[in-house]
Amino acid sequence: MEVNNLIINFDFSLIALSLVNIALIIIVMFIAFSRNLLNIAILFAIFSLIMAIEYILLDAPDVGITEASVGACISTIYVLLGIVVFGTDCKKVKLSIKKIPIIICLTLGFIISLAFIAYIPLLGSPESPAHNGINRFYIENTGQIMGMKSIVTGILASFRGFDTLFEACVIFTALMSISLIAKIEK
Amino acid sequence: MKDILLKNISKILTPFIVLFAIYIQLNAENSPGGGFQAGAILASAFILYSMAVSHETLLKLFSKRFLELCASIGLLIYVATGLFTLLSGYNFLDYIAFPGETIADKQKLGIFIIEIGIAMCVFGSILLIYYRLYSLSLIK
Repeated sequence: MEVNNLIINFDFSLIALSLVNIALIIIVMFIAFSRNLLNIAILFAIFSLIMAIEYILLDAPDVGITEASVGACISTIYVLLGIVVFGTDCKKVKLSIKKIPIIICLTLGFIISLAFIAYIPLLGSPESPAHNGINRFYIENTGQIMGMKSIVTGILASFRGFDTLFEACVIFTALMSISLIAKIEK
Repeated sequence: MKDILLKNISKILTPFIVLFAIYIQLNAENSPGGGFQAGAILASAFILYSMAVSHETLLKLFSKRFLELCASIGLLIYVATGLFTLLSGYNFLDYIAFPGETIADKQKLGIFIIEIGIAMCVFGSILLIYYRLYSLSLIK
């Protein structure tokens, strides 16, 4: 009985995932053909929110929370403040489209993506390389070593402490760069 | 001129977002989240307050100097943790150097300390970048 429930839930998550992906593609189309920066900023916020839903469907709530707060809220606000400075119009940029390079790029991209699709393992497949590296050790042992239920926190802060240290450094560097550019006191 | 509905709802909503950020920070062991998410959510709560209610009140609460110190001290806490373990005779960021009975206790203590550092660094950086861009947009 439990197995049946699992299968039904898995199917539902697959359907929801497909719907979310279709919505993402539609929003990206709108972004590509929009000529108003304000519309594009709002569409990017919607994109990030739907992306957060996708992360939660893929069982990554940590990334989902980060995407919803940083991608949908904070980066949108930064872009909006930039729009206040620079204006909403972007009609001055003129796209010059040449046919032959575009055809070459599309053909190459199609061939490469076909090659990738042939080698992509199924979603949740136990043989996929993503499930057979060091992360198997992490998944099995982090809970015991750290005594934590949320193994992502343990991995990020302890096993991957150096990565997190330099992530914090990256954010601090962004702060310093912005302070150099926009050092305006009232 | 700000919309009265937006203003009042934002006023009510801000403390709850702050509470959620603190919950994410302190309960990172058992639920998804951590220092980065907590700092970002905390900063976004105050950005909401600044945009919908009043930027001057926020400036009184968190001055630019305080946020600069917050971001720097947060990063310093992280690096100092690594230097402490290094000086205790272990590897950089090896939390076995901390006091505790079991390895799990030591790891938990180390993770708790650096999560506070990350949250302070992210909170200070994000809110200060917002201040800078806000003052830039006022010039226009």
